[in-house]
Amino acid sequence: MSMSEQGASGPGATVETLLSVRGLSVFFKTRAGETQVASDVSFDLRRGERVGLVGESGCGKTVTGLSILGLLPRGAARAAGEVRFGGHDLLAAPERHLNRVRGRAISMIFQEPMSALDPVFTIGRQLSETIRSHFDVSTREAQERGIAALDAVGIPLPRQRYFEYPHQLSGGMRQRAMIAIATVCHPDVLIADEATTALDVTIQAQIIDLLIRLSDENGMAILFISHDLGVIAEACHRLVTMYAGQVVEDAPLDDALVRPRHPYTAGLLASMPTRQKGARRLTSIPGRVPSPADMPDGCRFAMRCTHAQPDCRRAAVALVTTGPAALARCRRAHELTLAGVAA
Amino acid sequence: MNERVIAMPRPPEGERTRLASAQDLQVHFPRRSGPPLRAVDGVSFDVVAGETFGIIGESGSGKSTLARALVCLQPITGGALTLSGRSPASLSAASLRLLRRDFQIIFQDPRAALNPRMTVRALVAEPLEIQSIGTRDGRRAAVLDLLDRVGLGPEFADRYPHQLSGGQRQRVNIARALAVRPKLLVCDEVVAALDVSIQADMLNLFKDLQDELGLTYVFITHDLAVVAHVSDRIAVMYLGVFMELGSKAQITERPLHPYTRALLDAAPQAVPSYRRVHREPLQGEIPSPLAPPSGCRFRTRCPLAVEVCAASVPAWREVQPGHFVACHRAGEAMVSTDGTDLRSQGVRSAAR
Repeated sequence: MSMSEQGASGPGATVETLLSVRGLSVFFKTRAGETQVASDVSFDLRRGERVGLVGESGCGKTVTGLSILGLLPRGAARAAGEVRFGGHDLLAAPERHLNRVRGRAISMIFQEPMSALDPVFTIGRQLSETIRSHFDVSTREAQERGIAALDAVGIPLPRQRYFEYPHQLSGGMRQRAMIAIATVCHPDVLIADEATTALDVTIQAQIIDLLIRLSDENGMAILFISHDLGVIAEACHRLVTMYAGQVVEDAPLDDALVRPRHPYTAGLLASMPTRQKGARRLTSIPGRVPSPADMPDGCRFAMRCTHAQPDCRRAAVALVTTGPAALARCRRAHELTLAGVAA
Repeated sequence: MNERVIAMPRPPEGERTRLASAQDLQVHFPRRSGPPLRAVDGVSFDVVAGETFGIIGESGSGKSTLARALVCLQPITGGALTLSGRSPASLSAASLRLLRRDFQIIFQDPRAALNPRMTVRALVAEPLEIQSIGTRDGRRAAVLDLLDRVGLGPEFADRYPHQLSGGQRQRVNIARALAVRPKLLVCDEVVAALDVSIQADMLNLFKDLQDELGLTYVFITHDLAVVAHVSDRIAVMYLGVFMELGSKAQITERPLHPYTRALLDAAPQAVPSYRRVHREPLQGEIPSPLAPPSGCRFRTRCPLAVEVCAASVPAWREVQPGHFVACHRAGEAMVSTDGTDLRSQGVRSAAR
């Protein structure tokens, strides 16, 4: 498949950057004032590149995905920073511009297809609505494009399925239908938030392969948001690890997995049960993620880190370059040798 | 149906106690019209004291129904279930209550299993009260001891479920299950909803409790990495029946059933050289349990299916000591597409 041809590092450095998230911060309004749930998040997505965004619950990966498309609840949340796409800053763009981008140039898919599909409309109606809101085409033309999209995501009998309702499809087929709606306008970027998490393992493998194929065929970049490092490892070129609202590591996939530079990435890898590890005791990460309201001044991971030194707790830690196109937010990134997975 | 009962999986080592034993166990749910839903349709196995018996299957495989049947939460409709040498169906209500102490279950959603209006102290004391174990003072002390065992300090005793994290809630559920000193604990997807680091903590806790208390586990999950990590023996379930049963090494390194192979191949892998990029995923989806395919139930998705697979139900046979499989083509399945005989090499080679 494509990964071996393209190399695990993905598209070359000369490939254009499609989407650039710069210094993104997200605040939630609470009774006690504002709470910061994402801090100074920066990463790039290049054409055809698949980037995995990994982290545990509450690390800020979902709000990062939502804020790219301006989908944070208005009034309850506020985003600062820049999301550069197609010469515009999406965070500053008016709703009118975002509506032209959403579903056309950048699409998003979610974990639960039933919450993204409208149960009272046919799959076809939901496809043609998406097409006709972005292109001035006839109903007939929209229908043909919709059926082609169902065919492209591997739904058997697309001409028949087009006229069916979401409840008439199985779980795996609903996930495919949601992907068809998200990709029917051939977007440049797809944001997949835990899109394979609730699926059975054999169906999950099918959906991962489908997303890889769509990305390879159309040069579509994918931001894979997942807590499952295995899924990201199967699908992505680059791994961005988030912890407590910050990017703590950003590196080519195999570099990050085999030789992680941040103790949190290494901790996630050590926690994973695998059949290769056998019955060995798993290494868990002690302690808990600090609450956004009570973030430490220094390294946010220090209180759980077995490599922490007194200096780590003193001042905030910046991202340092650890290799070609690789960054880690660790004062000791250059001196530590952390265990990853076998090469 | 009868040919499946011929071979009975034996305990792996000699004369260890059989805690639970299922023989051609069936759980059918009647429907208003049409044939019954055969959620569990004839499975046979023993669980021996001290082991961890893993059951892996996709949604709709019947694994949760089997879990409930094992702790008498779900009456069986055919075959036989023996718990500690006794048949629960033949017992009086009082004797059944006593027997059920020894066989406890924990579910996936720790929140759903806890009454939100009860404190942790009351929740953990409840099973002791129901079973009339100990005095009031004795129970107070027992609760703190149980919380300590599952890694929760005494400060948690007066909290309510909503004040706990997902991992802490699951620990309270474990404490509740352990309160009546069970011999066997059925764990149904107990780590599925947890973050990977919390999941690691829980898996370590299960191991520690087993070492300290001599517990026996039936560990039910859809996650192959988890089941391979915790289990001594593994059964692979599909549409209400077992496809394969064997030791952990037999199932994960030398699988004989094409479905087991497919599950191993489909599991996402972080280790670069084990990734499934060169493997074709299994096609199609699990058929409806209301209308399972004739013959072998896996045949509609099986890359090796031939005519005989539709015509007759494959026998449940012991291919090697302790290694059972129901497949007409078991063994042939071990030759990979490039002609390499994998029988001696294990499945990892198949990925290369």
